[in-house]
Amino acid sequence: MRGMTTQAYSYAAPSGLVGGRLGLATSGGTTSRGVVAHPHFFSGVLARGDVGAAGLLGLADVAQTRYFQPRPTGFRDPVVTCNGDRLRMESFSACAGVYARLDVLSEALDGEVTALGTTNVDVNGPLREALARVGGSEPLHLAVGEDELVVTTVEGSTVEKKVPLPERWLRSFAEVQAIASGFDLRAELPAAEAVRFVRGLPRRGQVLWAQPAGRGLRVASRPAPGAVCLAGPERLATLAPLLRFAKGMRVYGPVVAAGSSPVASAWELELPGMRYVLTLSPELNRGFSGEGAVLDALAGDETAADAELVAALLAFKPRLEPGDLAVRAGLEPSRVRAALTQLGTGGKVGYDTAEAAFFHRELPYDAARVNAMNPRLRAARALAERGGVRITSPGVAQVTGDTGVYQVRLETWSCTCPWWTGHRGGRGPCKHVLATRIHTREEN
Amino acid sequence: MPVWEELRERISIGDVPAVLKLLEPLDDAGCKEVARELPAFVRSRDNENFWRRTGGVELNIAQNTALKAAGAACLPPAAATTWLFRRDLEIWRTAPRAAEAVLQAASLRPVSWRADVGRRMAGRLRLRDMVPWEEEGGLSWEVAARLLASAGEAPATDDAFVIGWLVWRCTTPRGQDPFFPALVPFLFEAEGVGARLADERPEQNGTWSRTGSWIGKLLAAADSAGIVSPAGGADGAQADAAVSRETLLDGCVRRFLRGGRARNLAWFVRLHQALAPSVEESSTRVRDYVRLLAAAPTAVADLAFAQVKAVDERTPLDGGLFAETAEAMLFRPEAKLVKAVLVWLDRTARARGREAAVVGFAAGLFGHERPEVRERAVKLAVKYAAKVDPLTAETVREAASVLPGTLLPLVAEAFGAVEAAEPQAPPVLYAPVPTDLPGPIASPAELVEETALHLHDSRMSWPEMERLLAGLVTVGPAAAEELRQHVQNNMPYLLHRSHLAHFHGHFLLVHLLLQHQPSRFLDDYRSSVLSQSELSLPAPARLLRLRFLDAAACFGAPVLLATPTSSTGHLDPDVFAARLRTLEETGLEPGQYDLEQALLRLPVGTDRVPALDGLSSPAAARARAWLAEGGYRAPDLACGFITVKRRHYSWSPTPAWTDISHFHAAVSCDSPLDAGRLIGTIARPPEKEEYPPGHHGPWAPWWPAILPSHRELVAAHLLHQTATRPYDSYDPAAVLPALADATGPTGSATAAVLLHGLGSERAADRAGAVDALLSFAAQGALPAVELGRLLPSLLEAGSFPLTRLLPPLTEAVRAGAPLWPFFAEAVPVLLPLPGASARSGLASFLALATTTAEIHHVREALPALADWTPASPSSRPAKEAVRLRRTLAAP
Repeated sequence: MRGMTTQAYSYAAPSGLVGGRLGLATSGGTTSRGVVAHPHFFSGVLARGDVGAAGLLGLADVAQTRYFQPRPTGFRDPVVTCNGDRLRMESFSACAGVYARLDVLSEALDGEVTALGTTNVDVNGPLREALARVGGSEPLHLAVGEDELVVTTVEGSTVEKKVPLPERWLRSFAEVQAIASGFDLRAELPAAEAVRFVRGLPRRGQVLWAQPAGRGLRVASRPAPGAVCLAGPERLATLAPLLRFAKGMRVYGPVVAAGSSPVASAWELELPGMRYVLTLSPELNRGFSGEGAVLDALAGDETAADAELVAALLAFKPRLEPGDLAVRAGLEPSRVRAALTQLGTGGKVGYDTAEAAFFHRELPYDAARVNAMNPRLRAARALAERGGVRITSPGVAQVTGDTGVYQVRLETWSCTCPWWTGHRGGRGPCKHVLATRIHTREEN
Repeated sequence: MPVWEELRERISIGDVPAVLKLLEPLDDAGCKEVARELPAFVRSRDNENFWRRTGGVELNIAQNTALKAAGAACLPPAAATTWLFRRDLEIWRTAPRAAEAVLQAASLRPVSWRADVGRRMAGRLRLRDMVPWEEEGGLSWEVAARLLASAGEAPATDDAFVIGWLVWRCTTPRGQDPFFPALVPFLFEAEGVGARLADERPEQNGTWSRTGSWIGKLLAAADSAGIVSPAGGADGAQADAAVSRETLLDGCVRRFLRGGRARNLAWFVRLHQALAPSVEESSTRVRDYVRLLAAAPTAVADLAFAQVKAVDERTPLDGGLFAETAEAMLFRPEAKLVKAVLVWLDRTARARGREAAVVGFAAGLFGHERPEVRERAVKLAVKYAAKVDPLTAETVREAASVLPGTLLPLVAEAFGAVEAAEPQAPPVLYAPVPTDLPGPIASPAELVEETALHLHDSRMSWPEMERLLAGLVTVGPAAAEELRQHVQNNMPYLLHRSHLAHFHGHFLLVHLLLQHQPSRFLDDYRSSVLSQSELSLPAPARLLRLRFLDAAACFGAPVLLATPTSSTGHLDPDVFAARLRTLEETGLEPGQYDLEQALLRLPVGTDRVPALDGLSSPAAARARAWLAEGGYRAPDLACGFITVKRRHYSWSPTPAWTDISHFHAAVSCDSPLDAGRLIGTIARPPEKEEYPPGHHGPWAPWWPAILPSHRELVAAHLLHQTATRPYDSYDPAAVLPALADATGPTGSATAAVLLHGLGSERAADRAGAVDALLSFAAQGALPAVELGRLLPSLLEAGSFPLTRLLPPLTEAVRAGAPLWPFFAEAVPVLLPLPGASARSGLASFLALATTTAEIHHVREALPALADWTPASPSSRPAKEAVRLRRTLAAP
């Protein structure tokens, strides 16, 4: 199939939960000590086993759901990052429209961090069942990595899984952090209001808007200043089983005004010692992969050297402060920010809305290659190379594409092609705009 | 004749028995030869244009069957598997016969080959092909299954294979199904089992068919598990096919723990019910049942709770599990389950000595959003007050501070003085702030872009439409060449004249710019606007089109007079004066309807009047005269219910008519403006409607901006749409907020369209109606009394059910809409008369009235409530009525 790679996970043994000990098996990944086959990140106690188990189940549910045109789908194992003071587990829905992350914070962890880094963890059917059996508010022994695998298999046997990994799924990791970094906090709900709001959502729906009202939120039909877009309310379904632990909910989104097009949003449940975040794409049928938020960064290569310099300073830090990085790299803060965006395109940073900061991770996939192969960018480069861009009057370019001739205005970076007009510019630059950018940069 | 030649001939004519006979004596070399030739044969068949030459489906199927059999007889395992799954060898009829042929050919192969191919085929089956009507899917499954069986192999356990087994072995007696014992455990493992069996239902008498349903077969298997039968014979086979109850019960519980959607778990719920586990069986799994209570779908939680209760009845749950049960169940969203657990807590409190814990849990519900739950919780706490330790009592007193005035004294009496929390002020509502609309389109490039945008996406808001219209008039001629080029390059079909007729008004100008000889098209358009009846072209739509014609007549003018400047749809008086001046300076006159529309858009009730000094054009004179007369006086509406006959179309030759009752606003007005007269007139629809009126969905949201100071009149026009074709002919989700954004008085017509929106079948419409309702309320313009008066009549007319209105009304009430006058009007009429039954949803409606009264601290008597004697005082409506009365009488 086109745009598809197969990801092979290799675990020393399956993850399992036996006698109050949760052992998460790891596949190959990058750590602070380099690439390791089965890295060992953490051994210790998880203060609230029931919350952690429910959060992990939520992640697993997201990973095996296609919210748009639902049908059974292959399961992609979550990505776990050990940032030293916290564990982050990330996954994407099969339609690439929902990004879920469980941050297990230091208050919930008591134990030894043996390495920093990122890898996949195995989640399997029996583990799901065992996680559902975790109850009461007792602590749970947790090991991430191979030291304390609780499920023993025949000597030397490993768990090999082969899962098709669409390239758009990989691209989504790069897009979501760029989009989330433009969010602001829009509402903070006490637990009771969060419960009421999530339970009261319509089962299905296209684009709705959540509008602050009283102490909570209400569903509105149209955007207004302060509102948060909620496209496909069924995509918040994995919040429901976690509501019983919720201490509150925070909702994030970009600035909207009356008449705004649908935008992305983030919904963060505050749990005891943990945070569960869902980031939703602007519409049910839109995966993050096509949002085009990093295309401009990819199209330019002037920040590559800065990115390399900054990359050396990341060190799996849980919070990356541009100011601090600027001092240490000896760069202007604005250049550090550009470098971070560039690193994001390679899946090297994620964005944490609660902290309003980036964090370091190294995706266990070849994300940089995939993003460089972005179809829109590839098409734009081809257009620019074969001279498809012509500046016809000041501020206006004419781009001859494969299917038509379009006009790009340089002042607004807008186009007349059906794709751009169809999304009203809401999915980033089209190939014609990108080609014009490449062309004008080369001219200069 | 060489083997292949003869075989080829037989395959070509689709003679399957002959092919099988020829395959039988083949040696290795022969097999190799056939294996080599087969793919080439299929390719050549394609080249020969098979369909045209033979034209026979039957022949194609026979050929494919023969080819599959030949492949099975001659190819090595991997190649044979691929061969059998080839899409160009698909069998779409009589698959069982084809399967027999393939299996007959395969029986020539060694056991290892059959085992290998069977295993490979099982792994390649697709879940979506495992449905009874998929012939090819059935064939693949059958071949795979029987290859495995004939090789003495265990069945495959791939998800799709298990599903195929469910589909194609449902009616096979389990004694004759060698896979039965081995595959039963995988019923609980494979993905898709729940979805495939979700529709399996018991017989009329509630029993399960022991041969025709999986649940029946499993029950029979479980029954025979305990019976030791003598070896051999049919009985022996039955005993071999036994499955222990433990396997089945464990399987169900594990499946529930893995989670999933209610529909996909429904079959397991039914199986669990049919197994009816004993208390002993349940007590070994009680921990699992407790873990299911918090997050499982309703049916599963219900079932798990029943088991937990049964176990607790036999031997008390330990403290931890009891607390977990109560906490999980009391947090459930379903009122039914919350009530069930409260009843259980009450019933077992004394016997199990859990009074203090029960009171603690009850106190946790004092802040519950449902009044009936709060009341039950208070009663429970009060009942066991005597058994409570001081610490718990303190917790109860603290929790009680949020209770309403009707319940708080009960707690205080039992537990001591309670300090009531400060009453909270109702939530503040914010009215939308009118904003200035974006400036005009400034350059040809921008116009080309805007036009391209709207040619691709025909859904435009009215500000976008007005901006584009003005841009086409002012910049259009300068951009005409570029526009034509864009269309020529990208959408050449638009230039074809026949295409233009399909487009509605706002594209008129674009087409005129594109056409070289537009006049005939313009004439056609004009005559169509003028000739259509009021029913098919309502006044606002007609006015819009007349204005499009005016705009089309003034290409190149420096301004378009009536373009609004505010998000309310108003036109700033100074801008109006400046535009008139510009036109006069250029020596141009605005079109009649453009001028009249501009006048209708001037704000009313302000001191700001356009400064028209020194202007001498006829347009300025008309404007001056109009302003001197005091502007537009909206006519009074005559609202009421009318009945019309609507033609009901069916295959029957005799026309059928249905009586339709709807709320209608008739109006006629005399205005010096043609536009004013047009929009101020709504006639009563004809007695008989042959066809429903025209479709105005995408354009109705533009209507409020035509008359931005008179929304009740716009609502009257919309009302006509709601009544004639409830949910298609206008777009409530967009039109109601647009109506609320405009200004002017509101009344019955507004109330009626609002109710239609709140009762719409589409969630987006209901959300839009809530937005509009809150916006009206924030402006102090909510026609709450009219809403309350109209609701019972519209319910009576069958416009929508009360239950559909409840969620959006709840939203509005919680957001702080001052809806008490609405409830005060509606409640007395909705209470059923003696002998009549209460309307569905009435109890929740009364509860909502109580919530409204609590939020806004309403204390006023509603005599109808006191006068009402319900048929059953224990019914929910009766209880809610009592609660409402108490709330209204509370201090």
